[in-house]
Amino acid sequence: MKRGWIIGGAAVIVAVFAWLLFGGLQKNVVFFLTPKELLAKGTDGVGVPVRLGGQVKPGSVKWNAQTLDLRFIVTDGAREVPVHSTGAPPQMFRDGMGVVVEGRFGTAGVFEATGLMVKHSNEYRPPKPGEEAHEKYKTLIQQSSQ
Amino acid sequence: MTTAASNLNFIIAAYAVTWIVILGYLWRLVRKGGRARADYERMAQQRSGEKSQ
Amino acid sequence: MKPEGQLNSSSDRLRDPSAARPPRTSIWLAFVSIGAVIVAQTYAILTSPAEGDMGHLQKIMYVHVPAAWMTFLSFFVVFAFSVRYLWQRRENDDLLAASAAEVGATFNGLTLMLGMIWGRPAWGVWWVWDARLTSTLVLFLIFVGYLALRAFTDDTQQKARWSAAVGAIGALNVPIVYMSVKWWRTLHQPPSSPATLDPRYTMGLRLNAIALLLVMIYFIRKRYEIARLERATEHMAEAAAMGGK
Repeated sequence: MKRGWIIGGAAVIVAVFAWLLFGGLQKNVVFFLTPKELLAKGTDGVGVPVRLGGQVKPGSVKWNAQTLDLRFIVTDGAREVPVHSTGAPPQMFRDGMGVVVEGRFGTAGVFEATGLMVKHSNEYRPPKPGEEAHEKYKTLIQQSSQ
Repeated sequence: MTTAASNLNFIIAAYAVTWIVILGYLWRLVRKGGRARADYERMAQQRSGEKSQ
Repeated sequence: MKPEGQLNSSSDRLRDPSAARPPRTSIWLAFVSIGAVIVAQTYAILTSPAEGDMGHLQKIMYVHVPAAWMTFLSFFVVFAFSVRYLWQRRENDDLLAASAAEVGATFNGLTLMLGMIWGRPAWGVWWVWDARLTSTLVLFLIFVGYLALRAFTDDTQQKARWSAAVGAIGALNVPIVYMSVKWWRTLHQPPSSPATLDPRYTMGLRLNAIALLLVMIYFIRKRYEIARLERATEHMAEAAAMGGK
């Protein structure tokens, strides 16, 4: 009797794991969409809460320290989405970094972000000789925003 | 506060949490171990006392 | 295990044979492992240069990553001894699995806390519900449940069987946690390797992993010693209640 319960319980847990691994959840555990995927959704992707991830297109960052207005372009190499956000970005935010923004894609084709996260790669290297750690560079921006 | 200074706080917090957990768990084990050993020795003596009578 | 029991009953006839002498863990292993952590951390902090993106925040790696590895290792021990318990029904295997589960849960909680402390400055958020963080939390909750199950079950055989089942199946979550960053799209980055890590960080990380491994070994051994002592005391108390036979 007790053994039956254990085997039954084990079967349920294994089934849940199997479902997690191979089932429909695989689609839902995608934490963010790429610009290409978001744009491919067409009007379905407009106005609904969604996360968008990609790289900050180098040279696209426009930061107004007075109004705390931040504009940049997120790219996946194939497509691009312009993003608008307010407030100081996380300290690691900069040109060329990976980012994930939370918010809604507006009808004007601009993603209105309510949250901004930096996504790091798995590479850890000190700056090459002649380069400076970006931390110092960011310090200047943060100070100018205060 | 500059970024570098606030980062230092996070680094210190990470190492502090690590040491609190390691030393806290170690302290718990040593105390619990002392109690378990004492209980065991007491019971063992009591048992050998009973049997030799 | 058998020779130990025989040795004990023959050399020490007065003692209950079920109370085969529990092992004794030397306190020196604690000193050595704690010392190793101090040396490894000092070496890593002093030798690693500021990272290109993260600056000195990279140094949190030396505690967060080994804590995660020791979580995985501890739960692997739980898996191995839970399976062997289910197969051979040896009481000591149950006690060893339970000891590793408590140590693993401790490292698991530490990993989560360190991840949050690192995530706030590095990502801009303390927590997100991505596949890596969520599965790590699920792993933690499974083993908190495991420990609660043990605390609230009185019958030792029932306790052992149930926790062996939960421990073995719960540990299957470890490869899921590890692979989560490869299988699914997450905010958490995939694992670094010597190819993606500057050599100046690799040595510090390895030393810290070895040091924390020593700590983990001490923790599991000591916890196992306590579990054996407590169980032996219980057996003697039961035997006494049965009339001293």
